[in-house]
Amino acid sequence: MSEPKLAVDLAGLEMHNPLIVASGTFAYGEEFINVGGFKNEDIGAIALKGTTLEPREGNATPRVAETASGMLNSIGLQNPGADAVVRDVLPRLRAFDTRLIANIAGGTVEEYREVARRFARAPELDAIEVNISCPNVRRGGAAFGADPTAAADVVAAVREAWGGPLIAKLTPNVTDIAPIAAACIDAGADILSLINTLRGMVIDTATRRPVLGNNFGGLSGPAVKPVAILMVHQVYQIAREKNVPVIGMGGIAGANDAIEFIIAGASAFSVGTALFWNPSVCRQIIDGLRAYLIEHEIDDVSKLVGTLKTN
Amino acid sequence: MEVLPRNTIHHLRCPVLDVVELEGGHCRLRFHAPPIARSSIPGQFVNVRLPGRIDRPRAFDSYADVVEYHKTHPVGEAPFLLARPFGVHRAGADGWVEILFKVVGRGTRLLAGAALGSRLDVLGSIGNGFNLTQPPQTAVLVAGGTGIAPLYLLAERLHRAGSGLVVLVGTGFALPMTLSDSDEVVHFLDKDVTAVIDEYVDLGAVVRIATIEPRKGCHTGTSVDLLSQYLQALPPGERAGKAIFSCGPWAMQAAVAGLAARYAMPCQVLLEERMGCGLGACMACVCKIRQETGEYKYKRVCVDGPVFDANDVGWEARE
Repeated sequence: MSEPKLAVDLAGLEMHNPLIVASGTFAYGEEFINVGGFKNEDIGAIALKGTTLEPREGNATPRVAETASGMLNSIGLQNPGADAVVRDVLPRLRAFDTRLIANIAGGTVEEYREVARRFARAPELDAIEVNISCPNVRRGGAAFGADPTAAADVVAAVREAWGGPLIAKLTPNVTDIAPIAAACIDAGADILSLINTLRGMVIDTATRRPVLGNNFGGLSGPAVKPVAILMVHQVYQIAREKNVPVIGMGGIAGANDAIEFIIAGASAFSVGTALFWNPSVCRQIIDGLRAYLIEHEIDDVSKLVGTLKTN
Repeated sequence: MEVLPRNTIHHLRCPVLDVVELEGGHCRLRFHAPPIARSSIPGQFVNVRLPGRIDRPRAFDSYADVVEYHKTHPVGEAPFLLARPFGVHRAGADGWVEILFKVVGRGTRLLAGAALGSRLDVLGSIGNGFNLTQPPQTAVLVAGGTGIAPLYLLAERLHRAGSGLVVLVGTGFALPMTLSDSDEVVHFLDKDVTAVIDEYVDLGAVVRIATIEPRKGCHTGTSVDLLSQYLQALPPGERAGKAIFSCGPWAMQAAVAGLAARYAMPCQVLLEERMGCGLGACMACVCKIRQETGEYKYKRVCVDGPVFDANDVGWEARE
């Protein structure tokens, strides 16, 4: 069969393939290009590092700890502030043929609105992802994402400031993710992305202290994938009724992982932690996805979305 | 400090050429990586990961053999493993790279057990190495523990550039290099401090060793003691043309930086920190570095360093 179509259109976010690099694992897009063979152009979109209104120093070190099949992190949204990103970073990134997604965070609804306003002025930007799921900041972050009303307030505020594609990034650290997903859609989210990290702790038994400087952090990597797959499946049931696409992520380390997410209901997927142990993973996933589609005679990746056959 | 332009970081599958177990749980591992061997600047590091299964080159002789094998080759290791950063220890013109490390945890244990010919997943070389645009007349290299590993490549390059070398090594445990006795008396130490490391002597270096536990031929104490005695004995007029290069634990380097500042000597430090990606993307390996504005900000050890000017590091910002 002929080359399958990999390009996707998520509520106006048009990407030449469905692979997004996850926020927080790719800084501001200029690090991995130093690795031989890596091209930003191989990526459908870059979700930039979570950005707040003012610069943030982030949390104390150590900020990462390896776990069984995963990694715990507590960076604490170290970033130079929205104005610096809009002024210095975005213009440079326009040189790459890939979409740019700003990931925004704040301590108050008003801060989210203001950060969105700053980014709305950037002609380079293709979408905004509202981070209501960061586990590593004292105020805001996951506190908003754990409550349907608070999540809706943040999404609505950003919606007022930004007319382009708006993604709400959901936290898995909740009893039931469905009502939060529904509230975000009702408040104006065009796209839902999930999952952010799962809260966790690692203890050094020699010192009886947590390994991370911030005591706890967010778990990512292959360890979280089954949790993420189920949540994408659950959120997809709600989102498809309202024609809202889902971006799936959590532990994707190869093409088969990405395909699992697509079958569960993800129209696009993000790769994060796997970049740390395999910087060539993006190319490998796209090649593997293409091979899968050809083997299964599917001419458009969108036709695979949500094709799960439950038992 | 002038920041050197970043080179291409190669992502390679590198065959293991040699693994040598050394005294004190140390290991020297050599792999084949010509682009990295060619481009490595002293102070740069490689990010090394052992992918997949380790193959047994021959059949087991007995059950005891299996048990022994599993001590270094644990069964059921999950495939996920972050790469581990190691300063480049030595690099050969014919394309090999060596790292030298102490086995301290799961990653180093797996690497020490790597089968010859198995392939490592290597990223390198990474980071800003030592600034050698003006090699000093005399370079004073101060090493704590396995900090001697990346300083060896530096010593080689400085020797080639015509710098004289003073190498002061502190170790709490056995050294993974060749020790012997020198009959040459160094003016800044007691006469009975005679132990030297052959690999550095071969580069024409004046070498002395400090150990925490008393050991024949070694100064009982730390590398900071050795540096302190060296600097005390150095006439102020002879400080010009000398520079300090340091690598070791945080507290030791903080003390080295303090001495360098007191004697107004230029000093570059090679830092280490727990890393996620090693490429500057995850923001995990930060430490406080003084900016031009005078304020201290978190910079990434991996790509903003790992070598910094000792004066710029916020030493007290961490325990």
